[in-house]
Amino acid sequence: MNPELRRNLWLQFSILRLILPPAAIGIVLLLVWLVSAHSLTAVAASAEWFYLLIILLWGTRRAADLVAEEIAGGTWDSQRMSALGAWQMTWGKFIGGVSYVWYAAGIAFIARLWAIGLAGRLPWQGEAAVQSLQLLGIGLLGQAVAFLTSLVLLRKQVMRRRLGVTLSQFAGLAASAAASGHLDLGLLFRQMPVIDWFGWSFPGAEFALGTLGLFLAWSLFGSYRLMRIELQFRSIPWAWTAFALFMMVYAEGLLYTPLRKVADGLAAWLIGPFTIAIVLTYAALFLEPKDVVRYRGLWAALRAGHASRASTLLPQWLPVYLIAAALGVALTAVGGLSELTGVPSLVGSGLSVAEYAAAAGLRVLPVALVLYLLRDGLVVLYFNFGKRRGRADLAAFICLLLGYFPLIGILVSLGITALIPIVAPYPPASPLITVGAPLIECLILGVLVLNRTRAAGRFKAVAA
Amino acid sequence: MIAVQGLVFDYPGTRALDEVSFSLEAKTITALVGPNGAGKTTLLRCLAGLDTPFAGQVNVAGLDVLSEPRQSHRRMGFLADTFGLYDELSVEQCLLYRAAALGLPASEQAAAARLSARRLVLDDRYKQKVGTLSRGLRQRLAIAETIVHHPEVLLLDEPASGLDPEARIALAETLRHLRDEGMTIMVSSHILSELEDYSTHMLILRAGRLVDQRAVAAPSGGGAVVLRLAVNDVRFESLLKAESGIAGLIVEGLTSRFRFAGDDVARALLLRRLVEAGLPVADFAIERERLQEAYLTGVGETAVAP
Repeated sequence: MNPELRRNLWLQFSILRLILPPAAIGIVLLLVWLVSAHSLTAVAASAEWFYLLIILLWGTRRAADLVAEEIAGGTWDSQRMSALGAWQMTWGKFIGGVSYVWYAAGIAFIARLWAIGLAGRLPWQGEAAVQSLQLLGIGLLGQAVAFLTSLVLLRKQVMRRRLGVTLSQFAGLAASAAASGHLDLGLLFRQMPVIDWFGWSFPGAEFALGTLGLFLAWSLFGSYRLMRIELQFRSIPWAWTAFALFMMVYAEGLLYTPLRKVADGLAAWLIGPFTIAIVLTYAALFLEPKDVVRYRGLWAALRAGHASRASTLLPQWLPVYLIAAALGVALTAVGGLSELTGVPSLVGSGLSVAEYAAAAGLRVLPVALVLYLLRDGLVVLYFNFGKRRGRADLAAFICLLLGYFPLIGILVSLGITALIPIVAPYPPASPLITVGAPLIECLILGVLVLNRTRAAGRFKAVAA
Repeated sequence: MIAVQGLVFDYPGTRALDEVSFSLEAKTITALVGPNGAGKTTLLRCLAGLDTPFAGQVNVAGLDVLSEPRQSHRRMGFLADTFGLYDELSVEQCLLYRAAALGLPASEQAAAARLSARRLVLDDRYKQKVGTLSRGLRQRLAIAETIVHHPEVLLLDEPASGLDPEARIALAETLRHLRDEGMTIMVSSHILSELEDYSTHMLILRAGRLVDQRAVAAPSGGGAVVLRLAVNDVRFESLLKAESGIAGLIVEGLTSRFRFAGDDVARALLLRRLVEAGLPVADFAIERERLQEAYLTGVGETAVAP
């Protein structure tokens, strides 16, 4: 047996803990059956609520706490010193850590199936079977996302354990809510009888279930990759790029038919992946730790010509950014967003799409977006390479947020829209300014980031 | 057994380890000493493969720790200065878990756990919950976990902190025993008296740099030989110089100090030859260099070096 799984089972189970859940759930469901005039539907509904409460509130908390409690207990280093592989550690910790939650939830789940069966429906057929799988899936997905988020925060060294655990649990609950239909994505799928994906039609509920399964697999795979890093395996950071490529294909499938109503030719193929690449570059920029020493190591390896060493030090955002850049250039080459027809004005300037196209700013907008993305990335690095790194991401986020929203509003209100390109893409400006403004900012920020990198390499004497 | 080459570890704006290079022979106990903030813990964590250095190579028991961390962990043990234990598990369960996690075959785990408990005198607590153990017993269990797979290399960071005098003596005895069984041990501490009893070598770190590496006592318990005469003899120095195996000879009046490359029997024969040659030998003893003196000597030599 996986030693990590066995250790967790030792910690989780005892005779008393084995007896408690069936006794408690059994008594409450018996009460429901009695007060509802022997309604099996009421019993099934209550059992489902029990299941959801246990699996979501308790389960996501447990999953979020799995690594955090090792750190707080001082046992994480000894775990990292073990000879277990990353996958062994991942599944042993994940399954073992939430095993007792699933034991309790499993009793509620079986009670639900039993009540449905007694009520005359076959729980393993048709819609009931899909619903049951969905219930199991949202529990697993929520816990997997909570576990994944805790590993992401661990790399970012969020030392305040409770906050880190709460954030991770919140991420897990959000994922479960999305998959269960309480957030847009799931709601969309479950309410739509048919999903159009690359022109093929799929039943909505089954498509939602398949989507849930895919994201569950990605969450566990992400946890495994992060565990590899924790266990000091040297590896090329390709997982985020692979996820980005998956998301491009997945999203393009959903956008395939709608986009072809507003765009033609190659542009219709490029817009979706381009948007995904931009979003996931931003996500990686904020989710990844940005250790200046690591970036110096990357630079040193590149200068020394150590390609394999350099490849292991690459930040996750960089390959996805390069994909975004390539897609942006390609999109501009095929006519940019001027190929779009029938969409309302983009920046609230009151100009029609035709006027955007006429101004030609829209054609170069993809390239400009790529440059603004690079500028924002450099802002994030600039804050992280400074002396106060504790809240660097938050400071960079606030800085960008202030730039994009209030500042643009102020400039528009004052009627000085000519200055907007300093802050954000503004297609009505000339192509030269649309591209030139972020380019100049990138150069300035590049120098500032370089200076901070060099400063981090000038050492003071070690405290003795 | 341990070979470190050009090890550099950076924190932003601070170089914690600066081009540290050394090698340690097998079956030695090396005291890793230096003031607070010298880089001792960082060095041990790099050796254990827990932290990735900016540059350099770490080779432990023939394995490159940086490229093969998991295989390296099968062959080494590391106890951090602040360690944790699973309070809800028994001593037996903790040891069985570590034995399995460190890659011992299932058929050997129970015996290894039992042996490790016996080495650290935890037999009588084998079924006891860890949460009920005293601090000293917890420290012993932590060491027992670290050596349960019988590693070739053992790295200990401040292992005696918080232990009472009796437990410290027991720890020293255990470490000597492990060395005799073939382990290579590195122990970090800035309290030299802790290391005095069992260290054979010393490695001094200061401000991230390796200041000195020296043997503080031969594994057999040898060191500098001090020979004192009852009355002066003009042949004193010449007779000693004529002996093979003597190095670093210093003669001051009636007393001479020298290093002697030989075991107890060879030293006995040397003494016999000197007495038979007519030297009026009053004292013939091993003077073990105290760790504190060696440390101060090492630091002092560095301080005056340009």
